Amino acid sequence: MKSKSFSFLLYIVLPSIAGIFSVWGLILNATLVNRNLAMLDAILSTILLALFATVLANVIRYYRPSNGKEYMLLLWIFTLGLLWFFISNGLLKMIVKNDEVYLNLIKTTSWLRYFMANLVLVCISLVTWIRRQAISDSKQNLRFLATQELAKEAELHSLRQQLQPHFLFNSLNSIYSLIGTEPVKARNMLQQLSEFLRSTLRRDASQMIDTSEEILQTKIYLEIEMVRFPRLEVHWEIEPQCENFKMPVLLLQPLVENAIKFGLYDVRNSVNISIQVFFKNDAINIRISNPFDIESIKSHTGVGFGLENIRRRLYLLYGRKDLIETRTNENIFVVAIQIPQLK
Amino acid sequence: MKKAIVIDDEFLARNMVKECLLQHTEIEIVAECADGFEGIKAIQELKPDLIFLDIQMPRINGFEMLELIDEPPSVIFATAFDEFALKAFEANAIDYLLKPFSQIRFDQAIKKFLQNANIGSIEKLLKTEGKSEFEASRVVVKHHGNIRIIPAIDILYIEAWDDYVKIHTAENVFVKKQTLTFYENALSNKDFLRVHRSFLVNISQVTSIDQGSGENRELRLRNGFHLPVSRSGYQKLKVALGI
Repeated sequence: MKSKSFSFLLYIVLPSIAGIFSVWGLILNATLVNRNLAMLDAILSTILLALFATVLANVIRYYRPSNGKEYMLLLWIFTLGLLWFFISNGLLKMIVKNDEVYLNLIKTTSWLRYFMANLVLVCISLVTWIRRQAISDSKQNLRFLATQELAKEAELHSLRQQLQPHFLFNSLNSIYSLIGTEPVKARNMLQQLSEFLRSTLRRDASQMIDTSEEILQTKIYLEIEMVRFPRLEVHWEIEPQCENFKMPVLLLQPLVENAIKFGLYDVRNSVNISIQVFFKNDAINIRISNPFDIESIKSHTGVGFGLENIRRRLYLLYGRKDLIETRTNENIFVVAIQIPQLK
Repeated sequence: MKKAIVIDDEFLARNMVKECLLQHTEIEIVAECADGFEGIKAIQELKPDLIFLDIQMPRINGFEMLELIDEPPSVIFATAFDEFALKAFEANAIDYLLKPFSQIRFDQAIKKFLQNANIGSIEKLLKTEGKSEFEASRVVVKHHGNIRIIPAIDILYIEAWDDYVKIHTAENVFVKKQTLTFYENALSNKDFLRVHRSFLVNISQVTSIDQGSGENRELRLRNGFHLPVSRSGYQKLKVALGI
């Protein structure tokens, strides 16, 4: 609103000033001329000029000359200036008709009029140009900051999520316990945990990685959980061709973590989590199923399976809302996602 | 000889407790349990003097398990992450061990237990009115011998009933030995409001507030139930509903 009223003032005030100047010029230089005519002349010229200034300002606002073609703008200014000059001159001559003195005046001051008009138009275009630049800069700046903030938040969130203190300290405790009884297993698990933490820290949420790598990371994570919980069983079905495709990081693993959270931490007996990776409809398809406890699920905060984050990410990445599907079948929860591959 | 039970869903964690206990021949492990359900059964059958209790376990957590035991033994919590420390001390645990813990730290806990062994049950402290800072999203009860987990959103209201409370849901009424004030605190962030000395109501289940006989007002719940509202309860309701 504010910027609009400002522009409006700009188009009116600047030409008005020019108009007042021209009236005064006429009056001072030629006291003999018909004052009514001079007034009419000033008003007409000013209104016309304001009209052209508005056209110019709008041209500048919506037309962005490509690099190296900024001279096109000057062309616009001079063309509009010339057009204004001819139209206002023609109109004036029609009004004045046969007042020789005034006709003479028009003739002698025409260079001044043309110069004035161009001056006003140049001023208007400069001011509009600068304002437009400032606005788009600040808008771009805001957008940039917002994106950065979001990215940071996501990174922090995923880090905290990844480092899951419960997972980390319980794993350390398992290793601590194994050291006394089964040192080889302890070494193995410590190495896997290190691998897992390293990959967590190395990851940049905006990256694309090989599907095979994401699968490997997830397998390491699951192997750690399998040492902690011998009641956990995991079935992998991977179509070999999928391994060569790229996928966004941190998609598969959070899904599996989710399956563990609801399927293992919440369920008492032996647990079977199955993970399928296959290629279909020009997309990598991942399908994960896990059992869950119907009574526990209802009292979890947020009600549901905490997949909103993944839904959002898939939408941001591919602009589609149909890439994630979930369903429950008795006490089995199935989530399926698609990662489209560009041909 | 003191009897102890280890309740933890990870066998390696249970092994660690057992290993540390080898140094303490005066304490004998009589059972190992992988979750709260097994824990309740073992405690009722074996009446241990001490339990080592993990908090995060499948279906019901360690605190919820304690609530379901009539005369809980002494408790040493052993958990991986300390977000529950405060609550554990409110539950008057003997000690609170963070995994992985050292033998020295474990010995301290055992020493505390042996010195305080006659302190009695933690029951009364679990029920200490107004002290519980912990926030629940569900209530765990025993019902016809089964353990039921009732999400807070399914509760219509909770009624004080001597030393017990009656938890009303759309389908059922559950009875539990607990004070109404305990739930008033535990469920305070889940839209529950004490509208009467004897009634704690789930605000989201209220459909209208009616002018009853005389001064008293009545709440009508979604399923048609009516509840009395005290004068102070009505004030609280007005604040909560912004009227």
